[in-house]
Amino acid sequence: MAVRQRSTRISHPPAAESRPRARRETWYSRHSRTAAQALVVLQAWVVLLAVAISAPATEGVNRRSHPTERFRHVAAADLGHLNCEAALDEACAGLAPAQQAETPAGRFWLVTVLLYALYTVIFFVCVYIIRHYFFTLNRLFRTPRQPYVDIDTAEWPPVTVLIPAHNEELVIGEILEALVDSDYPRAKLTIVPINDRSADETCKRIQAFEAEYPDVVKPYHREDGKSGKAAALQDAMASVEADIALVFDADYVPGRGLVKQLVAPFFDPEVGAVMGRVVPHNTETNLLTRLLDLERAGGYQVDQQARMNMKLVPQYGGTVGGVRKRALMSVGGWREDALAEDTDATYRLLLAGWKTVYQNRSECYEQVPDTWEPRLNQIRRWAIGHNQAAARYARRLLTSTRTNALEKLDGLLLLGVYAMSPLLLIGWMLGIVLWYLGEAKPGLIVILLVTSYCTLGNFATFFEVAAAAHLDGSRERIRLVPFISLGFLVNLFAVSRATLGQILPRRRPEELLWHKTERNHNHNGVYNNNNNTHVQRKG
Amino acid sequence: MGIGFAVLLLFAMTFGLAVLPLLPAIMEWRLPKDTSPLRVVRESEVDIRFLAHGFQAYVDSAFGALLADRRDPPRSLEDSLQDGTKYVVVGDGDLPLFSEAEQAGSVIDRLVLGRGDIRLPAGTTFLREIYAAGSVLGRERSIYRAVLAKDSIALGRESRSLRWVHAENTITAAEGCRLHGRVSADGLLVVHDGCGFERLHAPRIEFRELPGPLSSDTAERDAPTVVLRAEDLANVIEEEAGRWLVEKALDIPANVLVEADLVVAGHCRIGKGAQLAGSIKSHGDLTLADGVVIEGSAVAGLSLHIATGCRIHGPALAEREIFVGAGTVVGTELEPTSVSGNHLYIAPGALVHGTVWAHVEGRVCQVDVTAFADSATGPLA
Repeated sequence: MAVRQRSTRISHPPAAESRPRARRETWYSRHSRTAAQALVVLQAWVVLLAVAISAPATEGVNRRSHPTERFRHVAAADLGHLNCEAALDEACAGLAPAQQAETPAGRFWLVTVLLYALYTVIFFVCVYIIRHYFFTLNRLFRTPRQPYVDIDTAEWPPVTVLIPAHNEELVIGEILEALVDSDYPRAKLTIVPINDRSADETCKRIQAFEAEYPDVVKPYHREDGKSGKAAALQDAMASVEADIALVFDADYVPGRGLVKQLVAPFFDPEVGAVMGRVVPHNTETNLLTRLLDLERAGGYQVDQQARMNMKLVPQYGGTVGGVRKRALMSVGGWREDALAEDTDATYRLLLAGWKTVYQNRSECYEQVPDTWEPRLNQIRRWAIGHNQAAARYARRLLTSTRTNALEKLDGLLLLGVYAMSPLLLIGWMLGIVLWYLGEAKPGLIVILLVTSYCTLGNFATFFEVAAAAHLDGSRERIRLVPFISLGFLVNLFAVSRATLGQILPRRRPEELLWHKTERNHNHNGVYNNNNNTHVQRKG
Repeated sequence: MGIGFAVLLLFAMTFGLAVLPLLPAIMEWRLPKDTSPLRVVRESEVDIRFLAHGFQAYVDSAFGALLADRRDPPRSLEDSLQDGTKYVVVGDGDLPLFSEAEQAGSVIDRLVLGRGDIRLPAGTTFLREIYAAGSVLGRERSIYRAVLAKDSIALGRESRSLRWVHAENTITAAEGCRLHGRVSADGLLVVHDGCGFERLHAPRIEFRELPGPLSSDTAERDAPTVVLRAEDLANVIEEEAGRWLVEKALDIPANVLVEADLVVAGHCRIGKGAQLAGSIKSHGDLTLADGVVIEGSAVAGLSLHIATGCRIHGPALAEREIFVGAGTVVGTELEPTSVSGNHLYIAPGALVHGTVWAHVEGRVCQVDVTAFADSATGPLA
């Protein structure tokens, strides 16, 4: 279709993703692009340097790996003249014949297997490095893709907001208040707090809202059935009449326009699920909450939005999001035995040709864990659920006819993200074992250390989090980025332990219960003195 | 220096060297400066009237009494606020009095506030906002920072608005205007040929070639009697949950009715007079021939081409360009909707109810639809 009339091009300000906040002009803001490019070059050099160091070292060790060769090397060093072949031959003659030719076939195969296992670990670590950089550079230098954010006027469809709640007396009032204040057309909005056998005042608080807003708040009380969020959602879903169901955890406080923003992508008939951005509210509590704030920023502002930009696989996160009911029901509804029902739903929808959309502007506050124990429980729970989804859907994704090659690759990498921690630990152990077997290749170990440092412990994560903080317009908090290493180490062991627990045989089958993050105060800082919420886990 | 001290010094220096890069982190941890949570947009800042409402509140608080005082209104009143902001208050229907320097440079660096209607001079740049309790009548080739009128606003030929314009009744932008930022009217918004725009909103947005009423046919049409089934099309790979999943490209024949949502992996063309009871998403270009009716939304991964006389009830989105032919109507009076794309080219004669949003550039211009009118008329598969 051609445009006949030409006219002067309108000069517009560039479409900016950054929020309209006042930003002080700093050296960093002026030179961030150059700094980012310099950082990438620097990191590339570090990796190349590691490879360069590894090559001669590997060669040398290979040559020296035989006992006789090792002895020659040591003796040569003692004698102080490496080329003195005669003296070396004389010294080596003293070795027992058995020592000279000792390479049993079993040991050879053991070393070969271990070496290839190490190669495999390094390969996967490198793949994740590349993934991290692709995402971060995409976010820094490409315009964000947000095709649905402009839909502010429409004939809004009926929507049901589900709020699974189990002992949430402290926070349930806040979210209900926020939702009834939403600018979504009242006649099209139904709020369904799902009270799942709460033993505290949750039920009373919900009933108070029901009495005040009988046309909007229609609670669903569960007295029996399977426990857990997925089971509660599945039960409540049967009574949902609207085709679009949004889900919020009880400790979230949505803004007035959030429901519209999350519903807008469903005008696209291909969209099966929508995910908004989660923003920690209790950042002022301690170092942990500040680190989690940075981590969340990296995860959403960079990872999720980059996937959206590149049309990969943004993940539905179980809260601050929604699903198209007929799409979800066509793939089996909420899976009650899934510990991460969100990841599970994402992949089932993907396999059926429904897309998940990430909306970076659809932000909502949450309370992040402010002590290490709930944080560790949270990360373990995520790891187990994610690994469960990986076991269920990795093969199906590979053979899927509804997904393209890039979606398959990204989907698999996303499924494997929690497998990287134990894999990295295995890699480190392999390096140590090979070293003591005398067949080690220190070059390989250097590569492993550098790549793991770049991928999970330091550079890539630093880069990603720093990029997210920059995109958010944050300033001083970016200085905390080195402490992310601390979180990495904790996650590494927590995730590895959780994964190991999944692999090892259990004494009794795991029972699914409510898994939630412990909290003792709400967004307004109201504390609960007789805290009766707790993380339950059996098995 | 004893050996013990030397060792201690070595350790201290090593430790210092190791900790040095962490100093900024430790400082921020122990003496936090940036701990507040990221600001989340909790109110509807995306509301197109947000800036206008903010300015209205400012006018009410700072000038409410002055504007309401009609006992003996002077022809023009000049003064400045305590913060140094200069302003001029104009009587109903008067021309504001500007200084000789202002008239010579054609640049007005004062708030202009009208107790009723305001008439503004041609070829003038207004660096501050304009407010009128009645209407604003602008003349040609003027540049406005922002304009708010309780009644209507008329922008003369080749004028420019830089940030926003809002009227509680009607806005008319004459030929060749450049409307940067937001333009919204609570009643009618008329944008003439040759205008450029970014974001428009009104219950009724008319794109016109010449002054006069729009001749769009808004009457409801009868649905086609031939119903297309999924098995009539070669590329449909799945029919589930009210949705047809189509691989590769799709041509929908003319004058058929499709009672499903469509998701097309490639380009899609819909033939003349066809009607879609659901929504459609095409990963490539989406082309609607003359007279196509879509009850739901139309979403294109690339470009969306809408020929003449089409009806789209839901949002029309494209990640690249949208071309809208004359006589096309998007949304209805009762059910306004959104049109959004990077580049929008809208022909005079088109009508939109709701919001039109061009991320990069929008333009009212003649759009050639003949190349697409007959391209999707193939027989049933």
